[in-house]
Amino acid sequence: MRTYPSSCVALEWPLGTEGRVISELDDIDLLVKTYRARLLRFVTFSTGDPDLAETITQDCLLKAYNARESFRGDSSINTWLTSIAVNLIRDHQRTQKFKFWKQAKATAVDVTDVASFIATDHSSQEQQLIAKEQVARLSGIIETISQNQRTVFLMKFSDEMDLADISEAMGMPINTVKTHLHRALKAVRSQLGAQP
Amino acid sequence: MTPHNSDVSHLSHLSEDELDEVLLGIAAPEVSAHLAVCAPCTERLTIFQTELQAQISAFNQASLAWSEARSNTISRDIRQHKATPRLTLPAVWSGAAALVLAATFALHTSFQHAAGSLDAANSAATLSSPDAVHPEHDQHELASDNAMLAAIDSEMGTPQAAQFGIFQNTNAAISTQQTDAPVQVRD
Repeated sequence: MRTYPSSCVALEWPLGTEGRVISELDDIDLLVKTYRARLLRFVTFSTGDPDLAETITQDCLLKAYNARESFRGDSSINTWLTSIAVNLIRDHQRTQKFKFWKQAKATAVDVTDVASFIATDHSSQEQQLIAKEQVARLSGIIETISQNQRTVFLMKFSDEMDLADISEAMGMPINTVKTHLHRALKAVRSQLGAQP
Repeated sequence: MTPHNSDVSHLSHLSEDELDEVLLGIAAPEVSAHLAVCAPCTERLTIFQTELQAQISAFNQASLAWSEARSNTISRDIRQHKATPRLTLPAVWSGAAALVLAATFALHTSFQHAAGSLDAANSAATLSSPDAVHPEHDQHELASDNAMLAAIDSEMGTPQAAQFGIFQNTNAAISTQQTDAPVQVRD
C-alpha cells in the first residue's frame, strides 16, 4: 500500500470518492495552481530573465510531476520544487557560458512593470509611490549581488524558507548558506544606506 | 561584541554580523539577551529591520502579484509543455567538435573546387593562348612522331626481334599503316 508524505491533502472528490487522500503531486492542476506563481517569481528574480523563467518553471513542474513517485516526503513539496528549479537554473547557466551573444538585457525584468503591481487599495498615492520606489530599489540591489547570494536571499526573504530547507534546496552545507546570506544582507544593507 | 560606555557597560555592543544573525533568525541566545538590555543595539537593529522589512514586504507583494498575473498567461496544462533538452557539457563539446569537422570539410571542399576552377581556367588560358594551336608547331611534332615510329619499325624488322617472337608482318602492316596515314596526335 502506498504511503503518502506529510504534504498530502484531503480533497473533495466526485462520484462518491469524497475524502480520498491524494498528494498535491498527483493532481497536476493543483500543483500548477499552488506553486507556479511562487516558482515563477523565484526563477525570474534569480535569473533576471522572465522569458527564461517561464520555460524553467514549466520544465520544473513537468519534471516534478513525472518524478512524483520518487518524492519521499522528507522535505516539503515547495523545497523539493525549489531544488529542481535551482538545478535547472544551474544547467542553463552552464550552457550560457558558451553563449557569446548573451542577450540578458534584452529580456531583463521590467522593474517598473513589477512595481506597478503594488496593491492600490487602502493606501494613498504617496504611499503607493513610496512602495513602488522600494520595489524598484530592492530589485536593483538584488540584481547586483552574486547568483548564490541572490538565490539564498530570495529563498529566505521571499519564499520564507528556513535555513535547513535552503541548504537542502541549494545542495550546500548550512554554514555556506549562512555565509551567502550574511554577504547578501551586507550588500543590501550597504546599498540601502541603512547601517545597523 | 565591542566595548562601550553606557549603563550596560559590562556588556559590549553587537557587531554588524551579530545583528545580521538576528535578522536571519540564527542569533545565539547571548545576542538576544544583550538586545533585551542594550537600547542602542536595539535601536540600530530596529532602524535597519524596519527599513529592510518595508522594502522586502513591498517587493514580495508586488513581485508575487506580478508573477501570478504572468503565470495566468501561461498554459495551465503543463503536459503539453515539452521539456527543454538538457545540454550537458559532453553534448556541447560533441556539438562543437561536429561543427568544427563540418566547417573543415566545407573549407576543404571549397578549396578543392577553387583549385579545380583554377586548373580549368589555366587550361582554358593555355588553349586560348596564341601558342596553343600553332600550325607550324603541330607539323613539326607530327613529323618527329612519324620519324620515331619509323625507327621503331625498322628496329622491329631486324632478325633479333624475330628471335624474341615479335611478329614482323603485323608490325610491318602497322608500320605501313602508320607511315601511310599521319598519326593524329591532336584534333
